[in-house]
Amino acid sequence: MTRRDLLSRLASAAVLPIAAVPSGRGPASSGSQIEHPLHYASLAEVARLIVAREIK
Amino acid sequence: MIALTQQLLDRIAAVDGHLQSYVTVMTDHAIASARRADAEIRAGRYRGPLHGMPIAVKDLCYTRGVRTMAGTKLLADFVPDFDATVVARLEAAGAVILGKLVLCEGAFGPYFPGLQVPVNPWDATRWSGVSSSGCGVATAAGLCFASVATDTGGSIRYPSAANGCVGLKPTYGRVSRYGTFALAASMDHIGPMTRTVEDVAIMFEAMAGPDPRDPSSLPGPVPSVRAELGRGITGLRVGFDRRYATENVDPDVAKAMDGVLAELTRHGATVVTVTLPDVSKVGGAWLDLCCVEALAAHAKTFPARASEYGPGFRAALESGQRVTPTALAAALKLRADMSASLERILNTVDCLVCPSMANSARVKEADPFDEETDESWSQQVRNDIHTQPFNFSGSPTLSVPCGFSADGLPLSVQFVGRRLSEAVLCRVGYAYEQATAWHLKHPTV
Repeated sequence: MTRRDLLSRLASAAVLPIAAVPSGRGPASSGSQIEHPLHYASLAEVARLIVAREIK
Repeated sequence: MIALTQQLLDRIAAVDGHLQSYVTVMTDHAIASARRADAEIRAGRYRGPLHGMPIAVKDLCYTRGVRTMAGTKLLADFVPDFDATVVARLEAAGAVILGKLVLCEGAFGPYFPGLQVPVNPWDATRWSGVSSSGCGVATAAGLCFASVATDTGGSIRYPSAANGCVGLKPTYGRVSRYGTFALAASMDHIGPMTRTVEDVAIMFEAMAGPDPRDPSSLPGPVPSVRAELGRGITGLRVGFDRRYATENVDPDVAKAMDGVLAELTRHGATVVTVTLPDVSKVGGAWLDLCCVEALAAHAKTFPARASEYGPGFRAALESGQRVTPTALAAALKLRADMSASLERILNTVDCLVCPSMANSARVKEADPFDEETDESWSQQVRNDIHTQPFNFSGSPTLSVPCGFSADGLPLSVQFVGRRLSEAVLCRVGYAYEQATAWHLKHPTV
C-alpha cells in the first residue's frame, strides 16, 4: 500500500476496495478481491505516516 | 494520533457489538494517551514506531485503574493499582491502549457462563481460538493494530491460526510475566499478535527484556529483531518431520506445509529431514502440570470460592487436586526429556516447520461455557501436539498465515526455533510473508 492510498483512506475514513491483491503467490488462487482500509494497514505502515506527520 | 485513535474507537463501537472481542474499551485513557503522543511528536520527542499506535491487551494483564477480570466474574471488581510490566513497557514506547480483550476463564479453555465469546470474523459459525480469542478477533478485524496475548498450551497460536494473524510466542522468560495472572507459571508465555511479521517484531522489541520483578525473566539485552528481517534466508536450514507435520492433519493444512517448504527453498533455505520425539503423551502430562499449577495460582480463591468459578475451569482446578505426586513426577520427567530432545534437534537446524493448528477453525462448540464435548476434545488433542511440546521446552514460535482452506478459512504455519532465536524466526517468517500475500487478505467486517 502506498502512502497516498493510506492518506486517502484516512481522509475519507471509509472502506475503500482495492481492485486486486498485490503481486504474490497467495490469495490469487482464492480469486476474490480484498478490502484494505486504514484499519487494516500494518502498524509499520501507520508508523511511517506518523513520522511523516501525515496522520494526526 | 487523536483522529487515528478515534477512528479505531469508532470502529470498535460499530462492529464489536457483533464480534465481542473487547471486554473493556478504555476510551478516555486512549484519547488522553493519543493527545499526549500527539504533543510529544509535535515537539520532536518521537519515541519509535509504537508512538501513538492504538493497540489492545488481553484482559489477563494488569492495567492500573482499569478493571482486569481474567475472564472470570470472580474478578469482576478487581482494579489493579499498577500496570503489568508488559503494559508499562508498551506505554513507555508510546502505544495507545484502546482496551482489554476477552479471553477464556483464567486463560484456560472454556468461557465463564454469561461472559462474552468472541466471534470469528471470517465465519461466525467457527471457533475463534482459545484462550486469547479476543486478541485474535480484534487484531484480524482491524479493531487494533496489534495486541498482547499469552500462551500456556497454544493460546497465541490457536487464535492466530483461527483468525489469520501473525503470533509470536517468545522464548520462555523473554517477556516479563510480572502483573499478568498466571495459568501455569512454568509454561506461561506473553507475546504479540499482529497482522504482519514486521509488526510482531516491533511489538516484541518493546515488550521483551529483563525485569527484576519477574525472577524467571531472562537477563541480557534483547537484540534487534526488526533490523534482521531483510537479511533473507539463504543458507538457513529448515527442519521438517513429515509425519509430525502432516499426519492426522487436514489435507488443506498438509498441502499448505508443502507450499511453505517450496517457498522457503525458492528463497535459498535448505529443508532438512528431522525426526521429532514421540509427542503422544505430552497432552496428558501438560494437562496434569497445567491443572496443578493453576490450582497454585488460584489458591486464594479455590476451593474457598469454588462455586463462583465457571464449570469448565472449575473442573480443571478439581482435576489439579486429583493429580498424584507420582503422576506429577512423571509429567515433570516427560517435560524434561521432551525439552532435551527438542533442544538437540533444534541445535541441528535454524528452525522447524509444522502447522500452528492441524485444521482450519473448527465449528464452534454449542456450549463454550462447559467442558469440551468429546468431539471438540478430540480435535483439541489433535491440535495440541503441535503446540504444547513448545510450552514444555519454552522454545520461541512464530505463527504466520499460509493459505486458506477450501471453505475460505485461514491456515497457519508455525516456525519453531532455538531458545532466544526470535530474530531468526522473524527472518524466516518475513521472507515467507513477503513471497506470498496471504496476510493482505482480510475478513469482510
